[in-house]
Amino acid sequence: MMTKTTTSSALALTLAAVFASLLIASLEMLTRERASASKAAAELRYLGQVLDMDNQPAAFTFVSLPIDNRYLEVLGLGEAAQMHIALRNGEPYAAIVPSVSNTGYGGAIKLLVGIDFSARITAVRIVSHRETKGLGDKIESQQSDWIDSFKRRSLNNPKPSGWAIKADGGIYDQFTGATITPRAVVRQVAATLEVFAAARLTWLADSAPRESLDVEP
Amino acid sequence: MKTDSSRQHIFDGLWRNHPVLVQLLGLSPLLAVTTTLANALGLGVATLAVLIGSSITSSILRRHLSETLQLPILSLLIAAWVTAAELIVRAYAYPLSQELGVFLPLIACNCMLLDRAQNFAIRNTVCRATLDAVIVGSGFLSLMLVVGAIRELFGRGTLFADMYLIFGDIALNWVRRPFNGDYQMLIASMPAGGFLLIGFLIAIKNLIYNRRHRPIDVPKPGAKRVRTTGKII
Repeated sequence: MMTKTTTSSALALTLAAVFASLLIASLEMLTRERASASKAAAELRYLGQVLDMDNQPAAFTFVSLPIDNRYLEVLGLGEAAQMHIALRNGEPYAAIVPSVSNTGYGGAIKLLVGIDFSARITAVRIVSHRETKGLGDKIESQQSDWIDSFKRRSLNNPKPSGWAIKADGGIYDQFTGATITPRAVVRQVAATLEVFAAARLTWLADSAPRESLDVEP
Repeated sequence: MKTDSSRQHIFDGLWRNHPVLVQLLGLSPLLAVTTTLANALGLGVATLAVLIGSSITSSILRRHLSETLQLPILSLLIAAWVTAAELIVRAYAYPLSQELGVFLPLIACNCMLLDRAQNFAIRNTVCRATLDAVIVGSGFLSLMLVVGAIRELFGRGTLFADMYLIFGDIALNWVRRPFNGDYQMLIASMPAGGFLLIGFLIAIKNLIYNRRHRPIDVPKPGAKRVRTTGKII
């Protein structure tokens, strides 16, 4: 009786384990291609948003470059990261730079900053953040159009003193009840522009279309 | 529940023994992701699918489950189905998987799944277990939708926002703004508002239920579970 139950249980456990492994392994194989395509499409859409060209991201190809170590600290990136250069008709059009602010209210605010090669911002998007709901989250493009106030700005437009929120004498709006969040974003965008100014020529040279990476939508 | 007809069963799963309103199971996903209707729909459907899968497999193995190995085997099955669901969502609705984040794999920790597997599926035929999963899962899904709709409406002033996460580009224009102007009631988006809302829904449910069924529901001594809002029958 005892042995019978033990054998039966062992059989059940084996069956369950085999079933679980088969289910997961086969699904993983079946969906692998589709999953990476979806991921690439989502990333392409994201890059397209930062280029302010979300209707025709297919007109662009992207080259990925590692970011030089000396810029990592200013960009708030802990470890090696990549930036992307968007090419239109094979010509470098804009740089898309990841940037992280650590001076927000709720931890890291991850940004993606698009800057065209005349050094003007194409658009900024928030990748992730943990700011207060209803107050700080107005930095999201879905919550308000505040983030679009960076469009077409550059290091000289406004003047350096204008690169701050209004409470600090700058030109960017703060939110009622939340000044820390927009202040953090404004500072980080300005810092990213400075990195761009320093790295612009290197990035232009490195984006010569030798290993251009086509991302299919 | 042994001699119940299917109709009685449906009534139980969707109303009398509702997994959330009466048994308070699955509260954490309910409160965490139902800030919009789209999120609620995504996680609700995923939970329903996992529940159906785990109930079927648990029922198939029911003759081989000894008391000692019941829990690990059922957990293994549930975890496998959750992983499967996660893979599918990631492949076909990648933005939704990003939005739901950790709450997608955390379906495995929804006690409702283990409850149905342990208390129903392993004691019944595959057919009845499937029916039970569909009923109880739909009960959960429909409450998710109600809570999601109310919280989105009051918290963000919209309905059907973010539906493109699930349905793709055709859903981009589905957003409705029933209120004029910019309307937000902050607490509705926050977990506290979710808790309050659930409390009100439970109260309303009990009010209606007690009006209709007062004579039947005489509490028996020795409750089966402590953390419930009514008697689990």
